Amino acid sequence: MSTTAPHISDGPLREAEDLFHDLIEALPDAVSLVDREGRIAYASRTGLKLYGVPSVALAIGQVALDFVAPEERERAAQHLTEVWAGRPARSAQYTLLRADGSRFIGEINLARCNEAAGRPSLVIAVTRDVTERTQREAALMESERHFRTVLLNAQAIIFIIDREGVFRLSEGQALAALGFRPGQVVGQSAFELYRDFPSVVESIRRALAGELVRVINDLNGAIFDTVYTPYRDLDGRVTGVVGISIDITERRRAEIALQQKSEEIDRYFTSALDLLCIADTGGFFRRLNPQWEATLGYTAADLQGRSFLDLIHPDDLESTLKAVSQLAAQKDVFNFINRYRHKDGSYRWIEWRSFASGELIYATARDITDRRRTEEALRESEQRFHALFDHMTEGVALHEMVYDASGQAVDYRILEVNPAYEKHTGISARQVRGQLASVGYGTSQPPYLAEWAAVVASGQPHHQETYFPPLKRHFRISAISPKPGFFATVFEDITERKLREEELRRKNEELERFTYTVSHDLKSPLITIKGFAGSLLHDVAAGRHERLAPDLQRIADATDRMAGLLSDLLELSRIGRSAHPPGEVHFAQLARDTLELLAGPIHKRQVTVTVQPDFPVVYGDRRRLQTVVQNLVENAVKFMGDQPQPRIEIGWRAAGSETVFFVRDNGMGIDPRYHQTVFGLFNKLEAKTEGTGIGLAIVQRIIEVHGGRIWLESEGAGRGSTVCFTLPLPAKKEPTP
Amino acid sequence: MNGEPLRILLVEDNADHAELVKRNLADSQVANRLFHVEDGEAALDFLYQRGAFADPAQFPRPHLMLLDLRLPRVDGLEVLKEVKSSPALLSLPVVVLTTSEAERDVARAYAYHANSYLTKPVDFGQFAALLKDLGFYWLAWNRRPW
Repeated sequence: MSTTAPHISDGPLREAEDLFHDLIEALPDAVSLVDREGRIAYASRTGLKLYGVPSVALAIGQVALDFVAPEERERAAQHLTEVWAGRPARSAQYTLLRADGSRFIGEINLARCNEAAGRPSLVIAVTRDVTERTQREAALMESERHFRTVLLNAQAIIFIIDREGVFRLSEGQALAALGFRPGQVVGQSAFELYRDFPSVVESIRRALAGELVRVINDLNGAIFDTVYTPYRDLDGRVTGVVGISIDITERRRAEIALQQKSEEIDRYFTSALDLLCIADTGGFFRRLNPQWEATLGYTAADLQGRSFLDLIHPDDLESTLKAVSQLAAQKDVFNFINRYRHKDGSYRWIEWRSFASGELIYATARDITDRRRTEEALRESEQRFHALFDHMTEGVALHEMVYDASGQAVDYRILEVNPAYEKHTGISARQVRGQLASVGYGTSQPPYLAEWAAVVASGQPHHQETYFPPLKRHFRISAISPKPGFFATVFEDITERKLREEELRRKNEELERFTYTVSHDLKSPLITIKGFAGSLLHDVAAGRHERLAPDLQRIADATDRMAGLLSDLLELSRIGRSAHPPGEVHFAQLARDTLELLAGPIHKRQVTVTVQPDFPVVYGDRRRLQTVVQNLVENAVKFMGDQPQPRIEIGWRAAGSETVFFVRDNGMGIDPRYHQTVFGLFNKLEAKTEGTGIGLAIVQRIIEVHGGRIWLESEGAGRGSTVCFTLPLPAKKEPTP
Repeated sequence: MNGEPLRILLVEDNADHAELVKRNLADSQVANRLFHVEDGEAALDFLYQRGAFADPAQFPRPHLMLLDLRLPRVDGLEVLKEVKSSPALLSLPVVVLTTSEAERDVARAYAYHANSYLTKPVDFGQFAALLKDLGFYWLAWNRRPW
């Protein structure tokens, strides 16, 4: 820095000195010399430029420490003192001042020059401007700090593993998922640490072999997405592995859940038994589940993209379009039913529940064809049964049993009755429907409660024929219990049948009696005939003749009796089979005609006969009715006994709704004990009296055939008797009063 | 053999039949005394010795009753029932003699404790034999209570 450097001489030395000088001047660093007083003894041009000093002259003699920032001058002075004290050269960084006062950062290396005789002691100061480097370093450090902060806080693990597999770095919040603190595993062998996780060990080995490896590892439930990057030196040799692991456990779980969910939905869609479909309001199928094939014969693929309107029954098109427009208006449609054409051309009934979502329709559907058929069949069957119920001739009543708290059947409620019920019972449905039986029938005890309770309890049907006093009718009743607590009664009015049965029974009895008496009474004369004929033969053989005539008379009488019996029996048998059509009969005239026929016997016994005037006209078979009057009058004459003033009266009287006719006499009369038996066939009160015992039987039969009754009134033997009978009057005519 | 003649009460409404019984019994070698009534009422009166039959000398108690079933007024079965339910009469042997061959009558007669049931034979010879045997049996062989 001084142009007056004293030791530089001419010649080779001078050349060397110049060369050195040039060298110094060429250095990028500023070179200066500082003397003992701390003043600058020399400054290179680079130095002048660095410190902003215009010329060497201005630099020489300046205090060197003045170029150091005041706050660092002490440290710099110390540095100088060290160097003067002979310590080895060292460099230090300082904030330096330029001539204009601006600052820069420089690295200053201080070294003491070799001591030589005649030469002042000097310190060489080499200053390098490191402002830029320092700034770069600061930026780098800042960057590293940022990076580190990121690493430390990332939900990841950053790690470095060296060639031996030993962790050199292990940072990141995600370490917590593995149970490690940051830095905890540094110094440990990754191979050792992860020996139970072959995929980790394998990945590290591959990365150390130079491969970039990315794997997803499940480390005891914590799932990491890890990238292993080979770390190379300047020569390209792999010296370690840098890795970053990101904890994706949550994401993975969410992904799996989402996948499961969508699989579930998909499985549901394909495996649901119901018909599922997604369609649009434009009328097209978007997606269908396989179930549709079973219903419509088309596969889901056949239908997807097709217009569903094409398949709808023409009659259902309008209602379907209405439903679609409702869905387009974002209104859900439930319980909509229409018909879809099956691939085979038939139609299936489909019931829909549809939900609108924008232009999409989510629908579940059900093939209700079979159900509808069943319902249809059921309805038809129900109609048929109802028609049967309404038109059957049997009365039907449905009941519900009513129990008390102890479970005892106490009554039953009449739920429904059919028209035949009304007809048979004369009770209107309105009157009994919903009523308790005791109320509906007005009985203290519900009719047949015990029987019906047994039917309900056992479920076993019950049949019975019974006389129902409240209605005075005979019924045949069947009871069944179609379900617990309920029972139905089906009944028919068998009153007519019962009456016919009763009549039949009576007829059978009568027939039996008839046969019996006929055989008896016909046999009786035979015994007489044969007996006396035998006796006659004996007498003749013995030559006795005194009994011949009376015995022959007996035989003749017996024969007559037989003939009479046979003719009467014939007449009796004819009564039921009327040869003459019934008609109006003027009873008074009939009585008078009959009396004329009997004029002989009446006159002979001196009987006075009176006929009541104003007889009503009756309806019947005139000839038979004449037989009645004739027999009765004949009987009256016959049993007049020893009555000195015999009288017979033919008359009638009104008795309630009936008209009673009678033939009264004042003859022998009949003991009340025999009032019934006198009408019996062949029953005679007197063994000796004439006649066959058929007369009154014939009379009774005729009256019965006419629908009337006959009976005897007599106060007893000797007091006369009255035979009474009823006869029907002509339907249209009122009896003449 | 019993010393006393057999007293028989014949209850028969048919006079011809009664005559036949009478003749045949008379022809038999059985000492008997026949009483004849024509209906059940009279039969009971006879047995109870009342009404027209009140005189025990004239109408003594019979040893045997021949009873027809079909009778006017009181039926033969009624008579039988009455006799067999009366302590005084029940030991009287009652032989039903009737035209009826009906099983029902046979059954009912025995049900009312008839002692025997005979059907009148149509054949005269049989009729005679029946009454002969009947008389012999009841007079000669049968031990009577009184």
